[in-house]
Amino acid sequence: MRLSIMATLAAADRAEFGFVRDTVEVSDSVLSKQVATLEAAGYIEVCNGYVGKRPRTWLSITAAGRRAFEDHVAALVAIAGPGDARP
Amino acid sequence: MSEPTSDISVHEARAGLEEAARARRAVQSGERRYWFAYLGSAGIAILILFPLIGLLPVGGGSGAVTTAWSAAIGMIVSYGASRRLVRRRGRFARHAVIWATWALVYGTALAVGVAFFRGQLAYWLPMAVVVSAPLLLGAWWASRP
Repeated sequence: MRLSIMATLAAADRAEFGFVRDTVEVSDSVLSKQVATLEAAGYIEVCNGYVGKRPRTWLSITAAGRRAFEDHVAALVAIAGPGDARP
Repeated sequence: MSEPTSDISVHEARAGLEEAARARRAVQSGERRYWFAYLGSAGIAILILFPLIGLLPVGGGSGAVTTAWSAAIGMIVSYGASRRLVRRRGRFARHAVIWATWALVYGTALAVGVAFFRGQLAYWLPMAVVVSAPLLLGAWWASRP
């Protein structure tokens, strides 16, 4: 699941919490826990703000998070073998 | 996210890569839908309102149409911002090109039309198509992978 979260954020400048939740197909509470873990590791940043009067939570990947994600994907590709393109 | 180990099977590694690819496609899809709706609605608004700016007499509705056009764009931008859930990485340049092209075409067509062709249907109708083209083509372009 953390891989999906990181993959979503790696493809985006930033993504809204609800978008990530729907993409990863988890509940708010499950995503919140994973986000807290990834934030504590320094892999993602959380930014709270408003669009109009509506509160929004935005997630974005950090430089360290992007490096970790790319390393992780490279390792998976190495295990999966040739023919499996990077996401 | 932890480093994959040799305990991960080939099958599990492939499943992880597919999961990551699916997430990336979701970002692309979300971004495409947003820009298609955003640029498409702005293009249609200018297609309808642009001829009215030049065809209606000054003081007889032209100013009101300009105000309506500005309000329409403001609403589209505001609504678009509230509906935008994801910003895809590396797409800023593409959108900057679309809006810069539109601004150039719009400004030129408006200046020439107001100076030389006020009230002439034969100028303002085709120019509405020309002026809206960057946005409508941009909607199509932005919707592409």
